[in-house]
Parts: sequence; structure tokens; C-alpha cells
Amino acid sequence: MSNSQNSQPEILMQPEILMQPEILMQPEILMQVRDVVRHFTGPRISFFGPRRIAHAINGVSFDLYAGETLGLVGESGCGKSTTGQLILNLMPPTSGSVTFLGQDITNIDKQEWRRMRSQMQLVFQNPLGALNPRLTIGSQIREPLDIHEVGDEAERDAKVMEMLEAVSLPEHLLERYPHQLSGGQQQRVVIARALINSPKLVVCDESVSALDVSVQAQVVNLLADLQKKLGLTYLFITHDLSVVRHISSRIAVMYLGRIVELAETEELMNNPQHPYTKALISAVPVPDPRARASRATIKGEPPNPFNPPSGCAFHARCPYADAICSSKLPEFRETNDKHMVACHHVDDLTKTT
Amino acid sequence: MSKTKTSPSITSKTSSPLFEVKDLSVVFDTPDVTLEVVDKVSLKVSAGRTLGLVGESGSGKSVTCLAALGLLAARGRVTSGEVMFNGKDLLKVGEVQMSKLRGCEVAMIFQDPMMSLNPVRTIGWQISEALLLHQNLSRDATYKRALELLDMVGIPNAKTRFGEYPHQFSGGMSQRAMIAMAIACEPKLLIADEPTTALDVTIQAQILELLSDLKKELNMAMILITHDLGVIAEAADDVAVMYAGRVVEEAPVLELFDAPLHHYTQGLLNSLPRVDLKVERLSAIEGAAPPPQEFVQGCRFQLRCGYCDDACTGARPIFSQVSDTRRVACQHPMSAK
Repeated sequence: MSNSQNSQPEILMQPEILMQPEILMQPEILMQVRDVVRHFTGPRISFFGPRRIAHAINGVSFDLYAGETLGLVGESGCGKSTTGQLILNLMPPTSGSVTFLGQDITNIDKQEWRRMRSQMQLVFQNPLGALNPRLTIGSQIREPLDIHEVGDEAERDAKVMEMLEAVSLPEHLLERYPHQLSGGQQQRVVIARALINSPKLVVCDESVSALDVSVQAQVVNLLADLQKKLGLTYLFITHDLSVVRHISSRIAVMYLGRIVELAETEELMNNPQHPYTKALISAVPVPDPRARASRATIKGEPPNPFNPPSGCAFHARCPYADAICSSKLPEFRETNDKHMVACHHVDDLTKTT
Repeated sequence: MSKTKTSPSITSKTSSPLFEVKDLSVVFDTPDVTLEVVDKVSLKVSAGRTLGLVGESGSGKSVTCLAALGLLAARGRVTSGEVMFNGKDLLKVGEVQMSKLRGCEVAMIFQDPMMSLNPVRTIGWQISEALLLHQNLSRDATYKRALELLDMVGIPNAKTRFGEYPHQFSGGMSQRAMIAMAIACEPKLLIADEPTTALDVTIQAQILELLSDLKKELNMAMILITHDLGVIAEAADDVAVMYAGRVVEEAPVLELFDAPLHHYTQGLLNSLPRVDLKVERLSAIEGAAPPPQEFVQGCRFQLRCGYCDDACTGARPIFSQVSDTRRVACQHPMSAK
């Protein structure tokens, strides 16, 4: 996938980018997320008491480059789906900014936003829940074109057929209803509908998690093919490290509302530096019975976002934690080339391993 | 925590199996048709061993186990076969006997612990219930035993947790409570139906370790139903692969992963994204597993198989013994390495 990033010389030639030497090496930044914080208010503790606040996202910053796939992994409740919703402006952040192609979308004019949002799409986990049970497949794939008034009737029909072929669905399904399709076919319909308006960014929120392995592999391959063909950018949100390793060019690991590690896929998988990333990778069962003995499990469970621990959120489960971890928040910094980690002891840990 | 996991034992015990399903067939009656969802399935598991039952959704893995325990929904019906447990045929013992067996000698845990727990009863009450039903214990002894069980499954502060309700438990803790309930009467057979599917990977690793420790401690036989070949590789001793209502392959775990014989097993292994390896492109199996109304004559995998010929479309492939430990139902099995 790194090839597709490099194959964008026309963007590199833009003069304003050329003036910034550190960006010269990078492809175009599609989306910039800076210090995004999102709190949710819970119920009151007592009748006159204050409301409890869930710290869902505690300052997340990253860039999405055009044509890449950024994998966002973490356990349930770590804020990965909330991040996905925030960058699509489906809910406002408590603070921080999200810019899409240089434009801040967190407080954008409604008309402007309506035009812009067709460039960003979301594909959910459960395709049957995302499809309207009373509309045929054909009309659902076509709907975005109708809403955004793209072309005339004949053009829209042609576009639907083209999209159907792109996701390898047979034509006779157009008149069917969602419940008549298998899970894999339903997800293909959702993907076709998401891509019909030629979006730039697709957020895949656990898009393949509900599918059986044999079908999951088909859909993962399809997503990779479509990305190459259409130059898409994916934010791939999942709990499944095996899938994310396969599809992503970079991976961000989240823990309790913060990104704790961010690096290119092979670098992260082969050389994980944050103790949480290490634990997460080693916890994934490997389909090889001979690899059993090498597993190390971590104790405990993810902390409660209503009552986040002080300092590093992982300190209670971390085998290397000491006094500084429970008192001071580790800085998210670059350890070596393009490898970002938030851990106090990352230098000692990399030395020993 | 512990890194001293035992590698899977290769030799299967020669002793007669504790639990054996022989040619079990289950149908579901719908208003229009009768669907045969489990077709002559045979399984066996001995004390102290774990049988991994793996297959895609709708392959009949859960229904097989539910039918064996007499827990089928109203429309389901066993049409043939026997389920031998400790020398008794469970299909013939009758409901009264079955209720005495279930939760005592045979226990089952399910995928979603939150759905299986009663939201209006305390965890302690629910664990004690199994004890009070099946064992003649005093209230004090029951309480003590329940605390002991909570401790055994790794729930800290057992005394406080005893009085708490399911909504106060996290997913992993609820599953531990479910396991405590299941092992309360020290069952001889534990059926775990996707016990870790709803859990995060770090918690999944903990639960799998707990189950394997308990299995050793209580010398239970265990059937682990899952769709995840990673979990199978991690926790099973023997594996039965199910496809479209039939067992297509049965083998000890090492042999299955080293040299699968059925093309479906091979396809499944190839389509897995790996966390430990870089794979350029996944080799997916074309198509999808058929629902029961679309089952075909002969081998049910024929439409997705690259090695299919006339022999596959005719008669049902015989589930034949290939070696002492391995069986496969395929006309053209892959050659064992």
C-alpha cells in the first residue's frame, strides 16, 4: 500500500507544500486531527450532585494521509469508534479541531457541510442494521446519487451498475431486499452505497468483524482492491489486530481515550514499544498450536472512563509501572523514525529487549 | 502471568470416551419445509481433553451441542442418533433425569455472559442456586462454597462481589461468574459455546487460560465451540471441523494445522489474516456457506471447492478413518504430508 502513497507526484509538486521540507517526504494530508477531547455526561451521582463525566477521548491527534489506511485498534471502550464519529463530524468534540483538506469541519456552515460530507463515508459492523429493510438493494445503492443530485437518471443507473460490478455483486440482486442476501453480500451493498459518490475518506468501523472468516477474507480483499482502484483513504477501526495488520499501512493503538502508540504497520508489529501494544499483540491467539507456550497475558481489565486513573492510564496493568507512571501523564513522542509512543519507560524497555 | 502453558498433547487417550455423539441428526420444522441442520454428526471427547468444534455461523456446531443436552428450541427435533455420556444415552433418559444431569454432571457456558445472567438476582445467589439444586448443602456450606468458587475463577474481593448484581460486573468478570456457576458441581463435561467471542483479546487470553487450568484441576472433558481457529490452536487438543451441518474433518490439533486433509479446512486456514505474519493477499474461499434450504446432494462444499468432480456431486462423502486419530469426509482429500 505504500506504493500507492508514493504514486502521487502531482501533489508533491504543489508549491506551498514544497516550502515545508518536513512535509516534502509525506503525501498530502487529507485530515488533521488535533487534541480532540470528547466527554460524555452520565447520570447525577445524587439528586443535587454533579453529573459524572466519562472521558471518552482525552486528546487525540493524528494525520491521515491521502491514499493510506490508518488502522485504529484497541479494546472495547477505548474510544476508537468515538474517534471515528468525531472525525466525520457526527458529534461535536468537547474541544480540539478536525480539518479535512485544510478546512475545519467541527464548526462548519451547514450548507457547506452538506456538500462536503459526501466525500466522507462510514461503513459499520452490522450491514443488516445499516440497510433499510423495505428498500430494494438497487434503490439503496442509488440513494446517495439522488440525494446529491448527481447526473441524470440514465447516468445514475449506469453508475449503480458500475458500482455493483466493482463490489462483485450479480445484477439480479438489484431487485432483492436486504434480508434475502447473505452477510457478505449485504456488506458489499453497504460498501457500494458508501463508495458511489466517490468519497475521499471511508471510515470502516469494525466493517468485517461480523463476517465469517472465509467471507471476511473476501471483503478485506475487496476493500484493498477498491482502495487501489479509486485512491481511497481508510480509517480502519477494529479490535482485530490480525485484520488490521493485513490491511493497514500505519497503525494507531488506543487505550482509554488516548493514542499510546503510532507507527507504520510492520514497524509496530515487529517492534512494539508500548507495554500495552506488546500485551495486545501477544494476547491475539495465533492459528498455530506450536506457538502456545510463548504467550504472556496481562492482568486486570481496562479502567472505567468515568473514573480514569491518574498518570498513565495503563499503569495499573503494566508490569513495568513505577511511581512516575501513576503520577505523571507520559508525553506522546517520537522514539525513532516515525514511531510515536506515550510511555515513560520506553527508552529503558527498548534497551532491554 | 503464567508462561508455562503445556503444548498440546499428541497422543489421544485410548480409554473409552466420556461423551460420544453418534450419527446425530437434527431437523427444524418450519411452516413450509423441514430443514436438516445437523446431519449425522459424530463427536467424542474423553476426560481431561478439550475437543474444539470449529465452523462458520450456521454450520450446526451449537445446535449439535444443544440437541445433545436436550436444550433444542421447540421447533427443533432429533431424528436419529445417540448421545452417550458415561454409559447412558442422554436422548433416552427423559427430562427428569436430564434436569438432574444438566448443571451438575454436564454444564454449559454461552457466548454472551450478560444475556445468560439474571439481572435481578445477585451473582452470589445465582452461583448458590446451582449448588442448592444439585447438592445437599447447608446454607452456610453453600455460601462458603460459592465464595470458594468466585475465588477459583479469579474474581477478587469475593465477599463483596457475592452480593453484587450482573450490571456491576464487566464482561470478563461476568464470564468468570458464568464459569463459576458451570463448575459449581464439578461437572464431568463442560460445553463452552463461544465463551470468549464477546470479549476483548486481553480478557479472552485470561479466560482461555482459566478454562484450561480448571479443566486440568477438575479433570473435565471440555467441548469448546468457536469460529476462531486461533482459539482452537490455543486451547484444543482435538478438533472437529463442521461445514453445513456435517463434520468434515476430525484430527488432533497439531496434525490439523500441520496438514489439513479437507479442502475446506485448508481454505479456512488460508483465509485467516495472521497477526504473526505478513500476508500480501488473503486467499479467500469463493462464495459463502450455504443456508440449510440450499444444501446440495453429495458433498456440501462442492460449489466452493477447486477439486470438485462428478464423484463429489453424487453420493455423500463417507466420513472415513484415514489414520488412528484422523477422519475426513472428502472424495479427494489433500495428501497428508
